[in-house]
Amino acid sequence: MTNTRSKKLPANTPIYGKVWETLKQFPAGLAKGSDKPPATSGPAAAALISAGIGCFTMMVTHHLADTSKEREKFIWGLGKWIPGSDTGDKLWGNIGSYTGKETMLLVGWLVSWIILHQLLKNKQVKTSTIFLWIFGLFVASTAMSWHPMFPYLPLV
Amino acid sequence: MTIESFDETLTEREFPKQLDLAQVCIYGLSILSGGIFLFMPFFNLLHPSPWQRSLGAIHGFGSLLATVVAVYTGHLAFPLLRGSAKILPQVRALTFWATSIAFLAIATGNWAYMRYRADAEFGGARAWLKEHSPLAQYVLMEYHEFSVLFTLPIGVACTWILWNYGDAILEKKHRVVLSATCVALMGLMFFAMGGLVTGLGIAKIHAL
Repeated sequence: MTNTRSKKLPANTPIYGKVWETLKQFPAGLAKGSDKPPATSGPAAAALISAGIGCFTMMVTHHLADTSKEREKFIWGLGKWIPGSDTGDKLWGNIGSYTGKETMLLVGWLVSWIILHQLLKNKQVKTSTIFLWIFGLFVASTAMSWHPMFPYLPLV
Repeated sequence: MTIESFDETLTEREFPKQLDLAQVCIYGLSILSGGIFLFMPFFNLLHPSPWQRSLGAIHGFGSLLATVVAVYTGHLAFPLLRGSAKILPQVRALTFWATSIAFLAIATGNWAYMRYRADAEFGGARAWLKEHSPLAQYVLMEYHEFSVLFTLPIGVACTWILWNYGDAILEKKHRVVLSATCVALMGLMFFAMGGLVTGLGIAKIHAL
């Protein structure tokens, strides 16, 4: 196994160099890495694909909220736990249904991570499969920032 | 002291080596330029709007710092992808910090977004933009408010993978894991930069 443990700095290293080197490897426990790595690519695939699923879930929720006032109200209700979601103050404003969309990101991401981790933890997932899902989900999520049915349609 | 001995003292004194000078210069310039760059959001403190002075300055600093750390980490993904073992510990730590600061930038962004959505009669930026520059709202802001959130799950996934796979991530059997993680780190950098640029663009058109 490759040894990536930090080496000692030369004695003439200036103080700012020492500070920067320390900062770059803080916290040390995390910088060291685990000594019990998984044998397959499944856990990594589950972590990355679930991140994409979370973002895609949020964007689908965004479309559902922006195309129906009733759905938007329901989605806003899901995000009321986030501070500032509904302040009732017209001067300070409120975050609105965006909090519900953030909540759906968290739900879609964490729930799919748990499920995918259980399904893939002992499997060797192919490179093409991982990249297809990551690119597909993140490109779709980015493109969904702009929906043709959104109010700027009259501008074109 | 004779002229000869004075001359000898001068010539015998050890002059800093070129490498030492280079090191001092690179650290000096980095500290100076980094400090100046990160100071930029504090110009908000001179803004006439009280919300821009408080929420704008805090979110501006948080998001600029998040982008700087994410870009630094993203750039380390290139040598890591080529198998550079010595940077692995700092990539693990920096990915963790990039993710943590991205979370803070998102949290302060939520705070700023509150005032952004204030009613038109109270000078809310969103209402003003929809009336006077709708593309800023429907193209820039729509992209900004969602794409910056992508940095959080990507960052958490990369931090977890880099820690969990340890040094074994550089082994041949985990080449797929290394490749996917490095590309994800580049994605983290891309979304952080896109968020900063669109956020700055919107703030340039209308303050909080």
